[in-house]
Amino acid sequence: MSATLRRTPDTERRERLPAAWSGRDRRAPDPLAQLSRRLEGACQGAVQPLELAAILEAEGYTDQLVRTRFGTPDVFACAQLLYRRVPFRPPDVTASTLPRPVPLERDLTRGVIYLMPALWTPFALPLTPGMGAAQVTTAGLLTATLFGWGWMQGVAYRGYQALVRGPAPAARTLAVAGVQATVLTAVLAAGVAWMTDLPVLPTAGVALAMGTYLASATALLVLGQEARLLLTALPVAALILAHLTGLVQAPQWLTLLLAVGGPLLAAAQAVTRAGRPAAAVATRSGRALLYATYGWLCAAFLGARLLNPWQPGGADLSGMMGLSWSVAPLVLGMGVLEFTLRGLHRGLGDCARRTDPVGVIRARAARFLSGRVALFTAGLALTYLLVALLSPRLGGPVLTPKLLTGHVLVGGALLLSGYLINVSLLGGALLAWAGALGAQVAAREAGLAPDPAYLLGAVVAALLCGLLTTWAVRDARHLT
Amino acid sequence: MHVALLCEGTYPHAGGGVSVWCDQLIRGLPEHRFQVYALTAQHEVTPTDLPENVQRLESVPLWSLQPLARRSRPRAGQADRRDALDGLAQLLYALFTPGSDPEVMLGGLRRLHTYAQAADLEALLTGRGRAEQIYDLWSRAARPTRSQHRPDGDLLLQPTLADAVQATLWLSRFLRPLSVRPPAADLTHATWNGLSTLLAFTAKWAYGTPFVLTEHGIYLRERYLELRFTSHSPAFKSYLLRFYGCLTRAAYRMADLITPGSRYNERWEVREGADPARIMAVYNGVNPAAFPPSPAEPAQPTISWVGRIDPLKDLETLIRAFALVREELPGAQLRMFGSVPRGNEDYARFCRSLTQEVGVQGSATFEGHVPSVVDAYHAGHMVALTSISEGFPYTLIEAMATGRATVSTDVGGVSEAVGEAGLVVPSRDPHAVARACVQLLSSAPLRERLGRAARQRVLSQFTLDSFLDVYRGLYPQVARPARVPA
Repeated sequence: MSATLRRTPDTERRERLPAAWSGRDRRAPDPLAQLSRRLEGACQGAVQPLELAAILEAEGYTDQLVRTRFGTPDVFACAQLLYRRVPFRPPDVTASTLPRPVPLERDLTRGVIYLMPALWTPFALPLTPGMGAAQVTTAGLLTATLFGWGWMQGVAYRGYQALVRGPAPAARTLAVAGVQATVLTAVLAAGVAWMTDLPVLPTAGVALAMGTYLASATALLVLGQEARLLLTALPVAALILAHLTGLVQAPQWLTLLLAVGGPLLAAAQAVTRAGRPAAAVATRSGRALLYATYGWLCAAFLGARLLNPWQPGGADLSGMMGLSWSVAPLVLGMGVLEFTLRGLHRGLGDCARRTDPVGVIRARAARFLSGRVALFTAGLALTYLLVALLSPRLGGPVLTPKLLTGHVLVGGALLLSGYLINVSLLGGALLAWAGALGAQVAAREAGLAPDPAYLLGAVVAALLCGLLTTWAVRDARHLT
Repeated sequence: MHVALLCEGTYPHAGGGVSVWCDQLIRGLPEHRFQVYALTAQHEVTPTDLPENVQRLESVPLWSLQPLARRSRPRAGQADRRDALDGLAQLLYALFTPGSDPEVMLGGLRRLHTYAQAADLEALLTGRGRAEQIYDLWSRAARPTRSQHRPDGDLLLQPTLADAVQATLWLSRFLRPLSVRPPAADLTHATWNGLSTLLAFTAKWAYGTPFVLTEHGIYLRERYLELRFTSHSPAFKSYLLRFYGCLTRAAYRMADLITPGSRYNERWEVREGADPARIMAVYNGVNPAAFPPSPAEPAQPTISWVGRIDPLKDLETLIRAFALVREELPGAQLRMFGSVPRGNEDYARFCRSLTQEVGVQGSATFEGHVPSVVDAYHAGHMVALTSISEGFPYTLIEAMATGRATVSTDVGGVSEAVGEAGLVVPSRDPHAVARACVQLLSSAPLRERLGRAARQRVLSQFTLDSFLDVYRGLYPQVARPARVPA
């Protein structure tokens, strides 16, 4: 008897029973009817007579036994009789085949997690005092953001690949790749500093700190330990709060130690706990590089506006700490984005789990997708409307409508990029963001102001992502 | 002679009876060179302890994300692509038409194989529009998935679009062996029906290589049992069973010789279209010197079980039976020797929890992998085997060789192996298993008589030498000069 059948309410089951089965056959005292009752679940769910023969044998019925008990020549004949006698009734397997929903809070916390570095970087960095501090910090953070964050996309991809083989191989992969990426980030930052006549060690130190944090956070996120990562942020958050309210004068080194050391310890513990993998896991490094490129393109697109390398004398700390805050709602919205994305796939999957003609299914899927994207974008737009109104009143910078519209469009494009990546169209996402970055850079080079150039790039990203998604959703493979 | 040995999910990457059989065959026939083709789920590390006469090992990971290693292939043109798509349509026709001749499927497979040798078959099969094509054809051939009286034959149920997408992906993975270069050997020998036989097909198409098919358990029968409690949709299950059925029938059609591990298996093979004239049962054998009898018995009445922890071994019945044995013999012990294969962890947990549920947790023990299997047999007064599906189980003939009396279920070739030298009971019947166990544990003379008869039976019929002699004679008979390129 299949356990799944018990999920079907008895009344519903009785209504669906064909008349013959709910009549005298069901109550018949002959041995074959008794057998069919004993193996009711198997008999009802079988789609081939041989399936019943296999089940009969597995239940201990031999040719000799069925001959004496049921008068059939062999197990096959007995199975054929049962197959004809008991009508087919599909088992209810829907509940067991649907993926377990991810808790809403797990998605939403991701937004907070992504924003965490923005909380502690102004207090923990720069690592060098004096006039050059802004440039040093900018160079370090720029390198860590552009290179390290993108690189971590690749690390995360390799981690998720290894996770298929279990937590131990995933933890090992994340640890090794994370250390490599962090070291590379620091080396690259040192190179940038050397080329731009900035102090090498402090610049590399900033990048190393940010890289370490990113690697630790990536490991914890891939291993599903968002809560632990958030917990590690509590001490540094408390220290910064105390500092801001004047309760204590937080030393910079302590802020940095708590901000980076906490996640690093938590990640190390998670890796150790996962144990040693039985065998090395081969992951696709080339593919991981493409994921890293996606990260680099998105970071470069945002960085081009927020860090503004076209400004004479380079970006300064105030610009980074001021204007960068305008992306906070977008970053916080990443949690909502992940939740929306998950719901999007679930909804598209529901569309595909129908027996309608393909055209009808496609149209329904397209409508559903447009609705979800519109809902997410409208929510983000509303948030930015509030930000635009409140920012000057709270002493923040005046944010132009072009910049904020750009952020909203970037949010929508990121959502569609997520969909494209999830349906194995990473190439499309790369194309869209390369196009967006190219448009922004070209506009700036042509002398356009930063905000219109940024808006232009965002429009390109949204348009390309929209077009690619429209094309993708017409393909049955991308609905499931 | 060069023999291509084709394995699926067994030798040399996994343990179990079929792997033991392969190892015995290869090591026992040092005069032949073997090329082993191993179909696996994922990439596996190449074992270091392969016999010296294994010339090469080619693994074909069916479910790895990485496609098969590319070799330089000539480019396929549009005409080749069209022909391959026609081949796919032919294959789908065979799958969706009840009672279709195996030649129809074979024709489709051959065209797909031709394409796979020149281009990326997987990309073609999973390309844009393919799932919709399968959905369309399948929907036309199917009956609605609702309560209904059955047709006379197989039931193919109405798919959802998601079913068709899944079917497309699975088909592309199932057909991965068609992309492998055909084995260049004097003979292909598939150690099971199923996907590995695709390699034998390709060798036959390419070089006319003769094909021997051995079946320890019946592939199709085990797929039925595997899918009995599946979480797949009913429509997808009906599709999978159509595929497995068509493929096994095609293999019976292509095989020059079928050597089931027991006569019992012949029933299924003949029913599925195998020519009885080409069937010859070959029993497994063991080296009696490696399984010496031991007169010593443990102090407490002990039942020994040896095998892998797997639902097909039905440990549930054994544990429930043991609980009944304990009611008669409170001091009885059950020692279960064997490892948990990857993927069976849930089942192992279920078995452990069952020992607690029936109150035998202290006396029924899971001993894990044992370095010397002889010790495991000697650890009990008797050996039990409660499987729901078996070919011709090594566990049984090894236990018999050690002179231990056995209680086993009447599945597969078990009764052929045991004859009158042990107790055979119906499967899934804890009461019958318990009665037989109590009977043996309570009577030393019965144990001794059955144990002696069991060892004698193995010495006279199931030795390793006799098994190897059969294949030593069969290989040259079946093989003929094949058109293998230099």
